[in-house]
Amino acid sequence: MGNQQMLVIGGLLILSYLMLTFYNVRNDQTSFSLFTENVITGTSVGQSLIDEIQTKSFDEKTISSAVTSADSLTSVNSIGPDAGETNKSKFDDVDDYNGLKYSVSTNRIGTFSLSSQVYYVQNLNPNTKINQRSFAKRVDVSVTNPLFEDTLKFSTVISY
Amino acid sequence: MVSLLDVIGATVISAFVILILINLNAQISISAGETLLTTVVQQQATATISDIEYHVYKAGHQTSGGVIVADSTRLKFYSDYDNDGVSETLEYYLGAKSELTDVKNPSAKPLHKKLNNSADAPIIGLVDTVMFSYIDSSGAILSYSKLTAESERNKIRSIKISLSLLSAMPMEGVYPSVDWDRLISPRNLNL
Repeated sequence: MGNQQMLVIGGLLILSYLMLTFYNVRNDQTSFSLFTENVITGTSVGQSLIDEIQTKSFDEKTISSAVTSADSLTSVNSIGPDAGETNKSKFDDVDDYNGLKYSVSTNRIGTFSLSSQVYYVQNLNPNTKINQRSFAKRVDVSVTNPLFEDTLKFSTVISY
Repeated sequence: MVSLLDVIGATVISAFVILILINLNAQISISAGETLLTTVVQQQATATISDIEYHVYKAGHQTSGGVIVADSTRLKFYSDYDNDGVSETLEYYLGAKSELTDVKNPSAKPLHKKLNNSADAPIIGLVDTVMFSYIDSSGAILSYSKLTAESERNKIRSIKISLSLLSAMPMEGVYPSVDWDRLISPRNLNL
């Protein structure tokens, strides 16, 4: 094989590498743009759910009357939808959203899956989950999209 | 003759290589432009979204008034943003396409924000569509036709805002956009 042919092959290899690198970078840029859009849309979907939860009563027992003792609230094992609350539109208090799973479709970026968990936390240390009733409930919302690896997580503490 | 063929062949191959490089260079420029435009739209979108979230969330703050105008493309409400004891009115509304004389995007319309009765209503974003929906305490969507009555507007507990924000400039004929949907439940509204 002559020197000229070696040079041509070498040149083509360099050109191929250049093109592959370019398309790789371009793919990364597109992925990053889509990821950013996913975060924007996912955040709005997650925050909307948290906002909706915050409009509900603190507890089933506080809907129609005031409660002065935490022992009067819904027990830890009963947190979740109450009887007859078969879907989200029928939820009337915060802990009804425990274990909720549903999907939201968007025009541009596919379907987001949302799930929420509600649990009692210490009144003065809302990052600590407790297995007894208290006047503070923490809401964790997770938002996922099958097109993206990351899970967006949102939390808020609702107190009575 | 063989040398001549070599020269012609080398010329053709080098022409192809040069064309490939020129095309690659053009693609790099287009890609950089697309990325820049998309980033700009997303930055503008987050600015618009932050503005709306901040202000709509405070609807009814330190005032007895609530929503004054509740239409699909217009939202006006009372709030005391500066905590001076005097209620302000804030209005978001969709403007006409004809207002945007320097914008190339044929779908773009201005989204305005107006404080009190100011003559100046700055544009806070370019949108294709904007939709305000009003929801009562039971989660039901209130009818626009009934929301002309104050008694009906007093039922509003949450406001759902759907926006499709657009780029003013195209890249290769495509206008990047960002969709945003948000349900906002102002704490002080109609308490």
